[in-house]
Amino acid sequence: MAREKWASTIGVIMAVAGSAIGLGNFLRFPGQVAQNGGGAFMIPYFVSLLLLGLPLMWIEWTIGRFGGGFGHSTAPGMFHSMWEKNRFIKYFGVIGIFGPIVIYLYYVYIESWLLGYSLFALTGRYNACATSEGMVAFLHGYQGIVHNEYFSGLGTAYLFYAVTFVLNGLVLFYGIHGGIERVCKYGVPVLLLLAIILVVRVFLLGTPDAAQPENNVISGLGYIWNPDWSALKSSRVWLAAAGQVFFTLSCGIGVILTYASYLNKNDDVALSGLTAAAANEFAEVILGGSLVIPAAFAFFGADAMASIAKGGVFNLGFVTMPLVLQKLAFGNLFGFAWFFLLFIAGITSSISLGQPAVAFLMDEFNLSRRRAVLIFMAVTFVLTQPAIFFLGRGVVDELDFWGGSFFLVVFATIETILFAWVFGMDRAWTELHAGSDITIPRFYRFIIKYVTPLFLLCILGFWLVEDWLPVMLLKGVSGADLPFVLSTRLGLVLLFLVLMILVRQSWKRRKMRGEYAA
Amino acid sequence: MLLSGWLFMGLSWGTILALLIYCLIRTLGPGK
Repeated sequence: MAREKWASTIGVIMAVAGSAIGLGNFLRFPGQVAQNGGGAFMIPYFVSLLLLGLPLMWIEWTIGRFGGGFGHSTAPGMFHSMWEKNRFIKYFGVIGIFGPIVIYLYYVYIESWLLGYSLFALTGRYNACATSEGMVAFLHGYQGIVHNEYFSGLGTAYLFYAVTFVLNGLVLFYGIHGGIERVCKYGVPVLLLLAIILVVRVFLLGTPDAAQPENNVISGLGYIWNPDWSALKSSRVWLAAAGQVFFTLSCGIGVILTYASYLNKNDDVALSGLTAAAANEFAEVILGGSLVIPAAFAFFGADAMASIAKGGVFNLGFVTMPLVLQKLAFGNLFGFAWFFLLFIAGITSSISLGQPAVAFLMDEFNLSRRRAVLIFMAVTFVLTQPAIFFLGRGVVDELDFWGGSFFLVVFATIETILFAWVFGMDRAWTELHAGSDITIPRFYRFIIKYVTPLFLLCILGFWLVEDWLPVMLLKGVSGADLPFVLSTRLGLVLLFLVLMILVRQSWKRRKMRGEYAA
Repeated sequence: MLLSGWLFMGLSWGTILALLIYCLIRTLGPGK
């Protein structure tokens, strides 16, 4: 079977940027800045970008293209190609398939809410909710957590989930060039355009209520950007910045490895990785930082902002923003633009999450894309049901913890050490620069070898002790939710084991065909 | 917004825009 390839450099850059640009850019970033020292937060943020984000981008792009040269699109084969003598390294690579599948299970469902809300905005279905409480009730009714005057069950949510699920499957079915590249090549510019339109509208808000002149957009920008210098002394602020940079670039998931594996041996990775990161930063710092919080500040003022900023990502996106936008002329259209841009951001990310598992089945078991996509769809459809029906019982939080937090940092640490120390910095540097359109400054050799792994180990250790151990030990889980959380955890262990068995089977098959000596 | 707030916003925006424009010119520019 001929290996798929990207049709253009800009196509793969858009695909990686599309994977990285997600809800976090527009919803998580502004809240993090406002809560962690305002403008001063950008000092640790840029330091983390230079020492952690960019090196990880280059590492993943390079490992991906290197592994693709051996016919591997996923981490088990890539890790094996980099360290052939080690029989076990391929099993660490399983994380690079497991993580994306786990995130996919809840991500597509949340993405479907955005599609639903896009249409609700257009048709004015939530316009009757004039307060935060009303908007929360609307959201909870939609999610099936409560039955109320807005929704009597999960039917509507399930319909939008089914549509979103099929759309994702179709894009994956049409492949790297015909599906993913095409969607991202048009989708990413459209989402950026919608965001720019919304930013311009927010900046034109001025002072919405003349009776409260202190509530205006400029003060809202000040709420984000005025520096609190004392924050720089807090290790928590530095870790929050490192976490934001890490999560925003989609590093440590395994999707960049897979996307880069479809490059040719001498296609550039250094400039492409940098361009994808720059596009993501543009969407996050410039567009994301100019939307929700300045708009909310202009309408609700400083007193309400503390609770709004701390209310979390979903509160900002599904409660605060629609409330703000429906106060504007043509509010329905702006509401549609808001939710539809998030939906595009969602689908360009979710297809990247689906591709590693599909590619694994195709590469390691010689399945056709059609069969691989059908198997992937069947498995993920079944596994998503608990996230839909037991949303309020801690299932999604559990999936997000393992798939979206813990294993990301573990995987990034493994691949960085493998790249810099096992593969070797001399080979790694040569591989990174093969076909490169730019020369990366030489001091990055030192950063990639010493600083980035140390940075990751510090993050891993700190988060493990401070934040993750209580979650692992199920602290704070109510007795009623415990069976749901434990069942989810058991399911994840089984999924991981199944993937390990599949890797073992695949290697046995290859060994029998004489492809591997060991 | 304080002057220092404007400064941080301007520097952050300027850095990112400069990087993005540089990357796009190198990626899409003449000879590509």
